[in-house]
Amino acid sequence: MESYNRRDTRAAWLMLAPFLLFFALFVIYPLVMTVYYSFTNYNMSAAPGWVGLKNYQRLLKDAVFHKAFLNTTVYALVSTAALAVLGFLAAAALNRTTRSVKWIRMLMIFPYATSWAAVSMIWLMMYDPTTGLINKLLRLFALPTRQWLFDESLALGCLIFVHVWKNIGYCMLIYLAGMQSVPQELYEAATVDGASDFRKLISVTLPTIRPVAFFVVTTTMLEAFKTFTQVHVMTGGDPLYATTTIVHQIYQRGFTEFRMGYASSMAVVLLVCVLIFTAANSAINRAGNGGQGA
Amino acid sequence: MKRTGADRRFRAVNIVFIALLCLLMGFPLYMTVSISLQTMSEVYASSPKLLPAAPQWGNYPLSMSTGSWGRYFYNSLLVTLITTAISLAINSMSGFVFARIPFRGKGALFALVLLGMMIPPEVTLFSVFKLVRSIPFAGGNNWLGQGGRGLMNTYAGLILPYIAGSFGVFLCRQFYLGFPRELDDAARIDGCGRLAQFVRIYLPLSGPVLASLGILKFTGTWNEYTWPLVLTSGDAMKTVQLALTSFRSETEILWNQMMAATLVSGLPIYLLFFFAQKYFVSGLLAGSVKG
Amino acid sequence: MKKVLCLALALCLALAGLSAVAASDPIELSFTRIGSDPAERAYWDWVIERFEAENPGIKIVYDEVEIGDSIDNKLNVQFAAGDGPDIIGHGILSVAQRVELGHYQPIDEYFETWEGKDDIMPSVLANGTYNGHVYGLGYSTTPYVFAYRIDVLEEAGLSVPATWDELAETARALTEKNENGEITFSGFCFPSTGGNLVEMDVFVYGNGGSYIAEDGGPLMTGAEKEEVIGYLNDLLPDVNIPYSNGETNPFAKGLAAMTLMNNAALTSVINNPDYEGKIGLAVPPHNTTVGTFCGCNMLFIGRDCADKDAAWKYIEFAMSRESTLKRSEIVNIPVTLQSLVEDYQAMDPWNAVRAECVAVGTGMPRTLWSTQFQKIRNELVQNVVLGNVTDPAAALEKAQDDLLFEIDG
Repeated sequence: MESYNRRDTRAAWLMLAPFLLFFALFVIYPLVMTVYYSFTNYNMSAAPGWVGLKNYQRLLKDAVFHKAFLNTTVYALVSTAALAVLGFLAAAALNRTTRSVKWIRMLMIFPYATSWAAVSMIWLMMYDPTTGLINKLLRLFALPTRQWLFDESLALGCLIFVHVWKNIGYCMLIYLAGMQSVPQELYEAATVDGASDFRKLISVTLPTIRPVAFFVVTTTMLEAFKTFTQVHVMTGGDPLYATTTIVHQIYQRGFTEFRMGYASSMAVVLLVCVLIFTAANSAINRAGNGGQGA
Repeated sequence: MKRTGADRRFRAVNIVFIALLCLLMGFPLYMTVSISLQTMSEVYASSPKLLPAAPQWGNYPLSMSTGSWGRYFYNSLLVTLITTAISLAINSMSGFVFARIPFRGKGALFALVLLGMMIPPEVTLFSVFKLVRSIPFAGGNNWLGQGGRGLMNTYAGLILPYIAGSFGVFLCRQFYLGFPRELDDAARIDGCGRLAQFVRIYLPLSGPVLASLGILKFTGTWNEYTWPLVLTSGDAMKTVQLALTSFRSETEILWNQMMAATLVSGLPIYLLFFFAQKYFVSGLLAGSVKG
Repeated sequence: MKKVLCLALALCLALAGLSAVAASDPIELSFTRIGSDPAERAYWDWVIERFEAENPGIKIVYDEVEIGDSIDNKLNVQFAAGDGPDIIGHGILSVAQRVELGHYQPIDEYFETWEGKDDIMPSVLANGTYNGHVYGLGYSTTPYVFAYRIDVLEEAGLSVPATWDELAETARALTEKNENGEITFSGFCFPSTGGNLVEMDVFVYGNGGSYIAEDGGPLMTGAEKEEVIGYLNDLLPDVNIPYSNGETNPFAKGLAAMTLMNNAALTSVINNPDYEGKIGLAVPPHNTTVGTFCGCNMLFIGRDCADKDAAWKYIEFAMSRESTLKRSEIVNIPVTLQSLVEDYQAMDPWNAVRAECVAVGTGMPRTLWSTQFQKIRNELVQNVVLGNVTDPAAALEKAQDDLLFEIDG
């Protein structure tokens, strides 16, 4: 058990003060307001009127919200799994300092650095059922073509793919940073033990960057749950809500339909859902760490 | 060093994997460049053209000609650089506190910080706007924050909401958690206070995390659209992202100019990453703990 | 400790320096409009320059927001904080809701003394009227016209269809498929998805249908609409290719022979040198009534405007005959003043068609439930085009129920 000494506590709070100030103002305050609005019928103009649980009750009946909830969960879990693994493999493969590797890393970061407006246009072109490159290639190899973003069952998968494509660079970046602090001695010791490169990756690199991996999984999942911009620019939730997400619904209800109260209740539900997933993730991480803090 | 069969196979798999990734990343980049060099009728061709008939280099200066792109770049750069700098300082320090200083309530406080990452910006947009407008003594406000326009349409208004990033604190914390505990012992022996410990020992070794956080924060702030949309009005305060939408209208979308402008707009990030790469040099930490 | 204090002080100083706000002018009016295309921007720059020259005491701060819902986002947040723009350029969809929320101020007294009072087209004026008061004056109309490829029709020896039956026949004749049975050239293309699927409205109005019941409530059911669905169900699988009406219309890419298109979007196709002389415009084919969809953007005075007189001066200037004609010249949009119709038609041979589309066009319902309507209608259209609707009457009933649920919610 850690003992708390006064000097440490005072130092800690002082050093945290700047962050906490901005955090309280720009994060906690809006959060509290959102929870408050979720119990009202706020339309952003008149004063909010209390309606109790009415918004939450409506959520239970809102089929579109259910769809959004399902979509968001699938989107988050699938893309997180893909990104955590692919990002790690990419970082591992590019963890050297040759010149060609420098340029390849630049290439990897390009999708992440580019805004969704441009990225969406390119992919919309690729996915177009009539003239898009993907279908063209399929026709070339005499494979059946698909409607992609116009197919209710495939549209979400298409978006997930683009999301993973866009964010591999980010994951790679974080993993790379983490890999830099793996002490060389560990690798040398492993070599002496006769370990292959692959073995080193699994037994030396992976365990050491565990905190970083936890970070990547957590943040990727959190970002995925908050997906909005991609949906907004690529499909607008179409076809038939196959690609709508919770935040997209929040935006539509709150900003386009003036239903801020209702939108806030969706935000609260999202928050609870995300909390559960993050707690689960934390628990898994802690278990794997042998009971040490996450 | 002898190369075993397993090693050779592993290396081959690596190369194929990277080659595939490069193709996947590279092709859309190629298309972006290609479109930026086409004429609009080529863009509207029934089948996307891979190669422009004659590269329209003029698209680049043309895309920068309407509006005052110099001003937009200046605005974006100013806001992004300041936000990133302040963020790096505050977040790394906070991350250190959570990683290394034991104090009462740390667990709960950190959980609260994580909570901050779970809230979509679209949800808080509205409350933050009202807040920014009601900052006391700013923009003609009285001490209660009423009467004036607060920090609307100002640089401060664009910067302040982005400084407190739970993300940055989280990243730094994880990174510092991986530091060997021996570093702390060295500091204690020297009789340092916590702040000195952070500044003199941890900070110099924070190259990789500051570089990555810097890039991520820079990218995130640079690409931000909704907040500047709501906070600013008029040409003088417009940012690059807002200006990029001007290529999209009811009549048509000027794809070629938009792609050109997008590439130009992404330049600061590409440059930043290019130069920050040297911080991803292996073995930065090794050798610091010996003896 | 000292370091922290220094940091705090530095931050405060930086804050003070950075919160410099714009200089003070006698009267400053903020003008936010929907749409961000360079051509219209050039027009508004022209208007603002001349207005400021004639009115040295007034300065206009001009903002444009791209087409879509970004402007609603911006307006809502600004109004909620008590800081809405003084003059707003927005569409029909916004009228009912924003009037009810108090965002738009009535301009009846200014309108009564306006010289253009009898000149403005009645249908355009109606768009800006709500509950008997005038709120907005239309400065631009966006009719949906029927666009066709003159060369493709000529080659096949077919004439321009004027009725639904003719449309179906012509479309089928012009559609081309590849060996896999996929359509490579569409006879008539109709969007599968999109932000506002008004193409369906064109057909509904062309069959004498309406979305507003006599009591002012929504009307999603009706025989006219059932016929529309039946017709589209029958025709589209044979002739259509998938696209979103938020992206480029395949017609613009030379992949379709005929389509319904936003007049403004047509401009770029007509100006494309590859299609010179090949694009024809017509009033959309009808079944029982000649009708189409026609949107309208109007100038409103915002709730938080402190100087209504100055704002009205600007609106009056922008709606003057000179400005309106200049507008049509630069942006190629139909005029909204009746006295200018002849001049307008003289500018371009196809303008007669455009003008007629405006005359027979109906816009989005000017009701409180217009956003909900848009959503439910979009859902319905998507279901039709995706082939999910086997029983039109049942689908319309469901749409009506869904819409009522949305409204009550």
